[in-house]
Amino acid sequence: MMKKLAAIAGYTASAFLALVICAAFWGLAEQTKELSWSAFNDPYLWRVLRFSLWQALLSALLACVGGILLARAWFYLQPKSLNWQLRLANLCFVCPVILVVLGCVGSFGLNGFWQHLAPFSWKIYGLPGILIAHTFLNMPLIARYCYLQYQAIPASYWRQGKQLGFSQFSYWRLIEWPMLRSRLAGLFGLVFLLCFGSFTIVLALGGGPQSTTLEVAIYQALRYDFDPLFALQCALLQLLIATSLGWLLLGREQQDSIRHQQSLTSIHQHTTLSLTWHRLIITSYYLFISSVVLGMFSPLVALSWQALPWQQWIESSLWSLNIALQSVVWVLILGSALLWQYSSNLNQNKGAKRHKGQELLASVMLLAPAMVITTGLFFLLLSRTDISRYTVPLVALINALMSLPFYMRSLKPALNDSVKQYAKLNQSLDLPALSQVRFIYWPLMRKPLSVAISLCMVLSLGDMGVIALIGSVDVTTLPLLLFQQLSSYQYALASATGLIMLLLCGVIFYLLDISLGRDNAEHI
Amino acid sequence: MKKLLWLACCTLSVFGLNAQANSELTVYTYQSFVSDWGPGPALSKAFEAECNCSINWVGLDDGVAILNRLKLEGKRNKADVILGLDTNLIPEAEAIGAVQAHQLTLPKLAIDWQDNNFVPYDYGYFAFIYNTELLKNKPSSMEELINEFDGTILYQDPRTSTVGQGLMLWLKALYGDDTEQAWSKLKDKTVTVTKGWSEAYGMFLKGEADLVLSYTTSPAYHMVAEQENRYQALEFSEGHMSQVEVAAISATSQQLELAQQFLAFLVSAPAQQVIATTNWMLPVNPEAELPEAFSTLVTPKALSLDQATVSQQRKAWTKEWRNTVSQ
Repeated sequence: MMKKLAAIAGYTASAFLALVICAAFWGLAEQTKELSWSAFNDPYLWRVLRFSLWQALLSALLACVGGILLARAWFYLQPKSLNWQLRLANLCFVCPVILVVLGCVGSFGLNGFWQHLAPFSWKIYGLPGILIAHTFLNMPLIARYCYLQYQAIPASYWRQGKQLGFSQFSYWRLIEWPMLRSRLAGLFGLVFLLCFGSFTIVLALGGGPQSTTLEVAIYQALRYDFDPLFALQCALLQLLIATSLGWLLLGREQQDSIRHQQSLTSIHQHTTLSLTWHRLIITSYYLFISSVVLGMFSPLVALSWQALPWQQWIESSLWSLNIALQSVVWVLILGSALLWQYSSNLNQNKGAKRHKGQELLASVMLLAPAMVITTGLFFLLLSRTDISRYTVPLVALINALMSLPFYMRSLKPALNDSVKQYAKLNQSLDLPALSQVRFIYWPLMRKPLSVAISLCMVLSLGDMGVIALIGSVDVTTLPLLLFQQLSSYQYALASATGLIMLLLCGVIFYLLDISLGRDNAEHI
Repeated sequence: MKKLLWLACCTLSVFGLNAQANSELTVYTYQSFVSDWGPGPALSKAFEAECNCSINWVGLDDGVAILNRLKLEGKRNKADVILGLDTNLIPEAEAIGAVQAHQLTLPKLAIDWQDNNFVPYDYGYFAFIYNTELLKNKPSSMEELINEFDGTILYQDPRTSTVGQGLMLWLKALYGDDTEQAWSKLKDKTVTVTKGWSEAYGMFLKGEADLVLSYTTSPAYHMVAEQENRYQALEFSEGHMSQVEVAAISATSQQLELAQQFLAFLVSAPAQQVIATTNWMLPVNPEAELPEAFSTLVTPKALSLDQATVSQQRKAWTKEWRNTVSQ
């Protein structure tokens, strides 16, 4: 009976996801009456595509190279604060993108402190700025995963290497690289996809038509020229490329939980040169990270405390919270239904294929970037109703779809463990389903759930792409306000808005942690 | 429980935001018009005193962005008054049925004006502004700027800004079919292309480029507001493109009388004085009193293009710019 219910819930959620995607495509397809092959003969379109691919490739390469170097340094040096450093790497990845833009402009921009220190000046707008921001977001993530791969290298390999008198280079060529290679392809692809669909960064740091990506071109086609046809062309290209890449990627990803092995550094004989090298890597990484973070808040010095736009801040904070809360409701409904079905099938080996299909559906936003889905739904609603009335629910829904894959991924391992651990106990006690949830699963899932919900809220709170495209005059969220302040060069105000955003994110994490994530041993 | 309370507070306060005042005049305009140093605040104060209403300014990026917004929102826009298009955008705004006749009798204006829908509120000439203390070999013609000048320039995106569009029309008027070459030569001198006027001008004042595209009236601002003579406009021998900025009543407005009252106020001498000394353009009402600095400004030869040609070709010309500078 319970199994049936779970299946119904799971299928309903999947059907809903499929419906949203179909609706978006229907909205796009409606516009295709005028689409012809000759329309693709637009040099600008191909230039935009070329730049999108080029910047994504460079960003992914930079992130991978930097990530590997950093992971090696972590592994060989085993700093005392490693756990803390790994946590920080995670934070970089969920940092609201518009804040990263602010940080890049504040530290590397024309009025940033690096330019004041350096004897020559450079332009941040265009490719350099885009690469810096992408590296900040993705390099720590890659470093973290590579470090986990390093941890998985069996100790015997190192011992044999030592016996054979390997040089640093031989270690790398024969032990480290083969271990990293398998994982790196997927990671590279993931970062490539994320950068390929990057919107906020390119919009804010692009600087003119030379450096426009497909996502930004979609936005510009609708907002600047009101040219739905061009937006559609970009959307189709974007989708085609992202889906083919995603297809290759999915299924390669594996869940791995952190295994703490004994530290094997004692095996390595460090030359002072290599130690210095690793220290240099870690130092420059922190210099880079902290300069971006400093860049976010250094303009605060110039803030005039007299005339602060409190009204604007309060209104946009409330809009942001409103959207974030609505999107969390969506995520909870969809995600929990999918996970319920997943957990009820855990103890049988059937349904693995079916599950993969659902996984694909849940990851739709990694494949079909937000702009494509947004554009489709936008067209669909534009011709039928007053779009400004649906701004908030629509933005919330798309944000929910964007954070759904992250929600699923952060909860699955915990669910896996608890179901496998207690399945037999449940059967022998014959507990009713509700009591099972209350006494066994709920206490175990509280903590991961609170983290997952905070993550979704923060992602939705920091998102600017969707709202920028369909935002009406009345709805200004915090990231959008920050972007407007940035583009009118009010750095001090933008910085203050960024601070408010960060505080809000912090408050969300804290509140969810004390309400949901509390350790409650009294239950068991 | 705590969580529930928090949720309730958030949702309630969001609903509270949607409450609106009754007699509110919504004006779509561009960002710099409503900024703290623009005409917006002073005009609000003067008009709200006589109308017993409140003005709700909606500041979009720039003039062309207002038109794009109107296209996007269609009949569902919330504007009562549309302020900030220029004469080149009039045919397009009329074609999408965004405006209605103002039915006003205008006072005697400084420019020749016959239009039943739009009311002009200021005019000016596009020009490049430079810092006299920093730039030594200034170009004296567009030809020189394009071919010989070795400094840097900032201008606005013709897709969103009427100023950027002004440069596009200026080049078209001078070079016709050879405009593409002019763009590609300018490309190497361009620091960046900004979305609106405020961004470009702000960057220029921070010293990020030698020249910025603005108006011949911009130096008046520095002279009057800052007692600063450093910034001057370049006069080009070929002549300068002129621009007339206009306002109209939105076709969807439910407050026709209030909107008419606002337009009449806009061309009255007191409002024109405010606009001239805050929007830094030339007033259309000759009665408006101007500060001394306005008499020192360059008075260039005026160029213009046929309105109908502009509205037919604008998209194609913008595309030409986009394709050239993205190479």
